[in-house]
Amino acid sequence: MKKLFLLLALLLPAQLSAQPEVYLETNNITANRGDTIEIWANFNNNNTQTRTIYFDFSYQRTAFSLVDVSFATAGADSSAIPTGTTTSLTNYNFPGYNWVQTTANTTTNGLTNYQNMQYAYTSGGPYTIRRLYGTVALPTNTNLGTGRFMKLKFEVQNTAHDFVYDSLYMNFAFANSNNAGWLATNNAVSTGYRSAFFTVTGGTADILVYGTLDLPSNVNIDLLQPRLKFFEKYNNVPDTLRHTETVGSNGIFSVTPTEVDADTDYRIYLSLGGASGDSIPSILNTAITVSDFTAAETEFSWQSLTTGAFVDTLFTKGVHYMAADVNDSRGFDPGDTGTLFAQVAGVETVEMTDTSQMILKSVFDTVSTAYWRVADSILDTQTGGPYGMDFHTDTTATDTLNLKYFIPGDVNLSYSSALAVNNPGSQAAPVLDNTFIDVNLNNLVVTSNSIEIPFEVNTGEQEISALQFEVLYDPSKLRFETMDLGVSSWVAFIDNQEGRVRFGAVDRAREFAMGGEFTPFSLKFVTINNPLDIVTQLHLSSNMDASSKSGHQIGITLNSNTIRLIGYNNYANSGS
Amino acid sequence: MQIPAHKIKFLAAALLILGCTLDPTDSFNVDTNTTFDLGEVPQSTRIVSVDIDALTKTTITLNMDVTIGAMYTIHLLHPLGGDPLAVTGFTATTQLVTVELDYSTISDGLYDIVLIDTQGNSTRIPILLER
Repeated sequence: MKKLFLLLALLLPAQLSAQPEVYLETNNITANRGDTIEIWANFNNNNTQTRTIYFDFSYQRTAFSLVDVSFATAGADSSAIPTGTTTSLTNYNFPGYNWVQTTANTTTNGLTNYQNMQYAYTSGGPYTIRRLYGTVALPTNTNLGTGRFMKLKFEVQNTAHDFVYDSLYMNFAFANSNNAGWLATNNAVSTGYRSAFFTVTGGTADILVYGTLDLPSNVNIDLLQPRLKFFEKYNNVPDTLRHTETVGSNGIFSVTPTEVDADTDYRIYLSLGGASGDSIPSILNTAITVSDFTAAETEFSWQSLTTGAFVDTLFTKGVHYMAADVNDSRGFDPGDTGTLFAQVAGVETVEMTDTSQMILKSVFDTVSTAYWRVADSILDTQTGGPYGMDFHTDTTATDTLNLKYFIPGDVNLSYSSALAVNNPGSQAAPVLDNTFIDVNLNNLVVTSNSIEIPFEVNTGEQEISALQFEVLYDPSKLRFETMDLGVSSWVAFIDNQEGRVRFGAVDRAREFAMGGEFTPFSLKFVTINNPLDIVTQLHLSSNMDASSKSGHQIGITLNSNTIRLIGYNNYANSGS
Repeated sequence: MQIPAHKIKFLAAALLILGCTLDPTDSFNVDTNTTFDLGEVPQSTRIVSVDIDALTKTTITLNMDVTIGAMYTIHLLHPLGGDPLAVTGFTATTQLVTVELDYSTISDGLYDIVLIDTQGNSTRIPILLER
């Protein structure tokens, strides 16, 4: 009899192809600070016997407080819930977590997105994940209808006047039915995928200085933490730090008269990486990767032997050279490429204080390859070292500052401001647009205390000359042992910290570029405890990079950023 | 009570020898000659349905569509991941397998049940334990 039920259960989903819909009623909400915002999650039953809907939302907990969750009134005209229904709600909050978008979890099907969910956790981070599990008990022979299902009420917090508000995101919602279990559920009706865009207004402070710092689209704002330091300038005495302004994730900043004085001279520097600069090495490890080195090495090797002039093939603008001049010699020389390789390999860290190089946007975009030494000299002389900005605040009106920056060593500007030029195709010259290689990672059943994890690469028609990754692991369960190099003619590097190993290899001889399918790396770990019982995961961080044979940066497509390691005993335990 | 000096020396020597011989990694060394039968290659890894016992509220009956002869593991996880709270393994003897899971020691809450095969493929369903 049990098998008959199972067979029926197996067949039923195939017979019932109806797909319910869960979607947000609106995607465009304008509110002021202190307001409450109501957002309806609507439901279209579509002939299913849905009894539960499971939601996952993410939002800025520092900006919005979820003050109430309620069901639509049973039997009301606009309600999907019929008269006589009783409801129950389970509500979980996960502060510090945020949803990580991948191709697999940004589909229109909420059930698919749930199956492929990924999260990032930042201790004390500004986002939160809210899981809501709404269940209904319906009168006999009744089902849910179409209309409003659940209401979320948020209160907009009274944040700083220039706080950058993000929206509410519905990462997934899917339905469970009486007869067919968890159902594929369309989340893209009406408002499109996962959207409830907020526009928050109501800032009342006077603005003395307003501007933008151009941030790269892929920036990790929690890591970069860009801040503008306003030093008040005096004659013959050291400058005094008057105000530190945090730049928002959209690059916008604004300074009020309570923060700096009108009609006063200031020197402004850009600081990165936290108040004490303690994440600077981490920023450099992310910003300076193998393709920065290969771009610099390639450009340098094409230098004319007779005139010493560079051909400007990869470095098309002066700012590329300024970023490549890591030893600050006001020239592009072997010392720079050597230092870049040492930084990539983890042998040596590029010398950098917590102040980066910041330039007016108009200068950043226009300095030519012929003029960069002069520009560098002028900027250094003006502000006495790392580039900053001398600036006199107006008496009454709002000043506007549009700024860009680069991190020394980030020669392809992948973690710096992008270049804006007339030809969009060459916006970031060292990057080969839309060129990707595939990297495949597989989960493993662990049967030995020595675990080998191959990184399988398929470059297609592309030949590559450098590759690097970073893997995070649980040091209480695993110890990193070594890396086998599958490209013996390349120079490998490994930087192993507790719980984190950064590794890669570069074709320094520029003669052994690799293409097609191959396994450049195999990581070897040993288990700390009994390997047959282990359950753990390795995560690939976003700190990865690849370079083409010509020195251009190219993209990497991962089949998964997680490798699951499960000991044999977890399969062999007897089940009933 | 005083411990005689020769006993202290003996204990110290014994501890020293132990410290030199016990390697926390090697102590779990698995014989590399041992072969582990991972069963058939899984072709199906699917949770068909889940039932919660109405009386205990903690006995879960999981019905799965799997591959005969293949090995699987079932993990109970917190909604956002982490280490499993309970693990159950089995080798499928039929295509439709029913496993009863006793989660009586697990506190009330919202969890995920994840079915994983030996190829690393997985599927998950949410479950609410509510006594």
